[in-house]
Amino acid sequence: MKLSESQKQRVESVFYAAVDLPSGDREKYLAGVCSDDASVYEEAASLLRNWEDAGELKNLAQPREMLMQELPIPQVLGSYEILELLGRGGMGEVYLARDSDLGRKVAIKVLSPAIAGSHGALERLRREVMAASALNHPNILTVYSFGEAEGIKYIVTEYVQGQPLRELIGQLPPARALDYARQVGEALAAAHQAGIVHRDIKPENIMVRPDGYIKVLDFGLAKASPLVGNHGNSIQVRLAQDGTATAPGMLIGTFSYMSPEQVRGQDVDQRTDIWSWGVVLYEMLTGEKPFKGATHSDVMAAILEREPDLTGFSVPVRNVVMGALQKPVDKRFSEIKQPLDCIDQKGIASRKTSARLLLQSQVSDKSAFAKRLSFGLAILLAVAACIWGGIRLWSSREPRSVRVHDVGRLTTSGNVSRAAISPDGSYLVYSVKVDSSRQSLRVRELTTGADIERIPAAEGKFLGITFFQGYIYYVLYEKDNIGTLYRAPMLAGDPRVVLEDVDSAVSFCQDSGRMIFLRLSPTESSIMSLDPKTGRLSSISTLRPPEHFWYAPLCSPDGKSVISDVYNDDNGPMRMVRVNVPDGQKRFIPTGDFSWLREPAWLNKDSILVAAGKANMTRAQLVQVSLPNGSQVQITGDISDYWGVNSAGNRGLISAVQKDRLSELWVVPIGDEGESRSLTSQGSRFYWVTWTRSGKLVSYSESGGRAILWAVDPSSSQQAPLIDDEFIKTEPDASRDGRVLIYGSDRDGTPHLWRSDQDGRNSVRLTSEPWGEEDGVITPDSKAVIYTSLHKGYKSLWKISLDGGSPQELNPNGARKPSVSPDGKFVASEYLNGKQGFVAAILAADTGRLIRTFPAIPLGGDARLQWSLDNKGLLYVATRNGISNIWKLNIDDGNQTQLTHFKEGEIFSFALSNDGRQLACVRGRATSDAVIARVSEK
Amino acid sequence: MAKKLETPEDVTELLHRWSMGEDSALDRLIPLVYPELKRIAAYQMRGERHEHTLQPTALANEAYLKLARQPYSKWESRAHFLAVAARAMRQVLVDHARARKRIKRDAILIPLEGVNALAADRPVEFLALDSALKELAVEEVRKARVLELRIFGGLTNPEIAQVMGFSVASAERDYRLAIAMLHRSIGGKNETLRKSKAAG
Repeated sequence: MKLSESQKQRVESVFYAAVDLPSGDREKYLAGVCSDDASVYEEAASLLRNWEDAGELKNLAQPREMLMQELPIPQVLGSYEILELLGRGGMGEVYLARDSDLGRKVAIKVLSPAIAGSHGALERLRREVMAASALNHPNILTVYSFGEAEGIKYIVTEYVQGQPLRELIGQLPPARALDYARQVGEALAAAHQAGIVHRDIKPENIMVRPDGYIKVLDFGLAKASPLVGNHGNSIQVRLAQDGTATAPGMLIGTFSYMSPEQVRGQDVDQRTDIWSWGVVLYEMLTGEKPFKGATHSDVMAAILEREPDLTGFSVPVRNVVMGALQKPVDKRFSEIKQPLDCIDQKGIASRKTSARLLLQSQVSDKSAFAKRLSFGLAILLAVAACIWGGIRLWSSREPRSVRVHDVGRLTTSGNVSRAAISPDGSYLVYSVKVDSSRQSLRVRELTTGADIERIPAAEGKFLGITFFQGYIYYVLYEKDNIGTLYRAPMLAGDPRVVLEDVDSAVSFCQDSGRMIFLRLSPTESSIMSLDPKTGRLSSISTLRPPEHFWYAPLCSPDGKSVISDVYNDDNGPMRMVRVNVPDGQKRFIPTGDFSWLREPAWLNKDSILVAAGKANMTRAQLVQVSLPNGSQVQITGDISDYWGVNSAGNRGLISAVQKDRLSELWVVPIGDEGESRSLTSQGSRFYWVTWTRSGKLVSYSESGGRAILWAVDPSSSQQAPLIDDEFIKTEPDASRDGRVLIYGSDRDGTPHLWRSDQDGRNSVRLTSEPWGEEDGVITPDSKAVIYTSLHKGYKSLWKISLDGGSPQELNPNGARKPSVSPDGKFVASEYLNGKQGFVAAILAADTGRLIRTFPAIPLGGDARLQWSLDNKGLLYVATRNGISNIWKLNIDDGNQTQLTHFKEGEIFSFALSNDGRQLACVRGRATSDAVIARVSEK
Repeated sequence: MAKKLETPEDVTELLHRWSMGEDSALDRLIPLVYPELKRIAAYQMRGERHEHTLQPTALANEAYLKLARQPYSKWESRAHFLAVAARAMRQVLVDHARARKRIKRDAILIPLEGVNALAADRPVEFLALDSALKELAVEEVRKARVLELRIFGGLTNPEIAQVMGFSVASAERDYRLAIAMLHRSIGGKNETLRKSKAAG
């Protein structure tokens, strides 16, 4: 008996409808619905009988609980000695540990296999968590690092001694509750400003230190969790996916803090945190949750439908709570700053004395607590209305046609100079700096992780790595600055010289095997082409100064054109150009907002390029360039720099080198007066530092897309932002009279010097030449600024009054990084001394005349020379084998003395304190590593 | 395994092709997990872990924990991994059952559960199950796969829905029909077997 397709379908639906009926009723049902077709009836009945009898098979097919095996924790994890279990959370256990390298206590959060097992989830987690920690906010728990040892993945964080807020609820005086809410709110404000939403604000995630300081934990964790992060960020999805009501790691209590949009499974933004913050505030004030219920569903229903009981609240507090707990997101506070301003402005959190008095009157029973609440609020709060509005500053990014899924760092050595992925996506070939003059070439097999040294360390640097027909082609710039092109088989065999005098990576035209590269000479730069069949070398296009070809050209897949860069000495931005191969005709591709786009790679056959691009002073990011119109979209948004993009054919993989730095602010006593100490947390990115008259430090850091100029108290390590925006700033300086601060910023599109008050207010532009200025330093009389002008890409020293006016050239010779002596008579700088290149020199401050040069002083890096207080010494950074220290050269006798004795790390910038007894240093490590990103077209 | 391991893109691509109906795509992924599963199976069957019962899910999970900790993990999700592991698991067990059938060794060192117990204790029935599943796959490839994922991978319906790209309800429906069909097929064979024995 063979059934037709439609009969089969009917059997299936009848079977499925009948299978859940009691077995006695099935017969009747079948007879009813299959009265017209005996075959269908028999087949369905047979299947139902077999279903009924298939007990053993059903048993076999029973899904088992996933064995969430608890990973055994060793006594030692990497360089951490495990001391005790602090607790268990959704993501895994948390241990107290001792960092045996640094001797400090840390908390270690071991990641559950569900997270640690997924590369994507882990990478996302790392990014999210580090982004929040990099905010460097005093109320955000600092994350030190991610680690892996013995197959266990973990996060190392600051260890906070204190109590979870959960344990204090029900016994908090109102003033204290408001103070805690303010601190949590400030952490959220910083995170939101950087585009980071916590998503899981609850008392369990808030630690209270004994000194009253609040630390918000687990930023980034909720979003990065694979249970939520992938799927619209909603708890509902979490539940549905898991099929049960208690998703792993979800405490029942957590439901109480969910926003209505989270309950509904909708997308969330920062307003979700504002809601949860409101719930926590409510609970701190009353000891009770605003939305209660016996079951999860009841709690969720309350969140969606019921209004919280606000009796006993004074008007301002009620306004704050109500503004945070508005169910429609567009009626809620749009920014956490709004309720915070209410709290601050009304001074409701600042009356500590009254709060303390209240705390002393121990009240145990609940009605008394409620009375105390009303009483406390009545005396603490001024009656004023706080209005919330629907102003929404958060906006979604513009749509992209190319998406970067994961940027995975493949190396951790921090010394990678070039990297290229093979066209089949199976190898990464990369060069590493072995020491200051030698580099080696390595091959990593991506599937197995096997990593070999392919070309042993040699003097010189690798200029470009490409692949063609199974061979690696690389250009080595040897000692004499002549580039030689070599060819080597992928894994073994000696390299052979292919061609000399090659000044860029080579690009192969896939159709003809023609090789394209740059050849530079002092008088011209040419895009060259080598025909493999005839061996004939020809020039496709040649430029003469002021125009140059600059970076590696790229052959189009059809071999008909070449993409390259043109740099013009006279007008700033580097432009991308498409050169027609047959006739050398150039068509410029507009570079839009980017000051340069370089070393592109084809993402797909002929229309989409990915390049490293830099918008003015910001970091170089990956940029998608669509041809033919050249429209550009930045496709990464982090604070690293990228360069040297390569792509693996059409496999959607690109490789690049990612340049990063980690740098902290240190205070170093000179002589034997105590120890050096860091003022900022690990994982920071500080760049410059200067002292103010009052002994504070002004320093600049970047994190989470923000560029912040800080005032830092060297004794307490307290940081307060002076200027906080998204524009990169360069070297700040504070005037001796305590009034003025200057700094560089590209806020209006070009790097200029800006001045502000020393509290960061009233920023105005000080210089305004079209080519830009940098490195400003204020003269000791607080009247003028000496700076480096970037006139036509040529740096020279100029001077301008702090009140503005027209600038004057101090010395027409090339010079940069001025530093004025304390007596105001001299300027130390890096001076362009003919063939010697830049040397340390002192000039007369009034006439700009060169007085002396000091070739013994090593130059380079961000740091500028500094004067000793007696005007007789020059302080400078000397870096040997990657370890920097500060030295002093005595101008009179040429003697050099070492002032700091660090055994590790680089010093990027430093400043001598006003009393000459301390140095402030920006120290850390610059890294450059190979990354692979997965890219797809939307 | 002489065959080179697949790259992450290949894994995704192959899983996609498999969910679009190309059953052999899954077989190409087996080299990724088979050796590890086999090692774990051998280890457990030697009875070195008395405290554990051997069940396919436990086996797959253990392999998963190990494989997923590899630095450049190839798996989009646990479900995807388990889908591949289910097929590999089946292969491990078929090998094992064949070996048992040959050597007829009855000593069971550790308590086994589920399909592993079947493979170890009653290799003939296990192999009948395997071939019935193969036959089912000829006519009803989707249903056979759903059952394979449940029996050998221990996947839940939502996980099956995720890897195969259909709804949870479809997974349940296919599962029930597949059980009924498979039972009928195996039962029918046993019937034939009994009859021929009786006749002989």
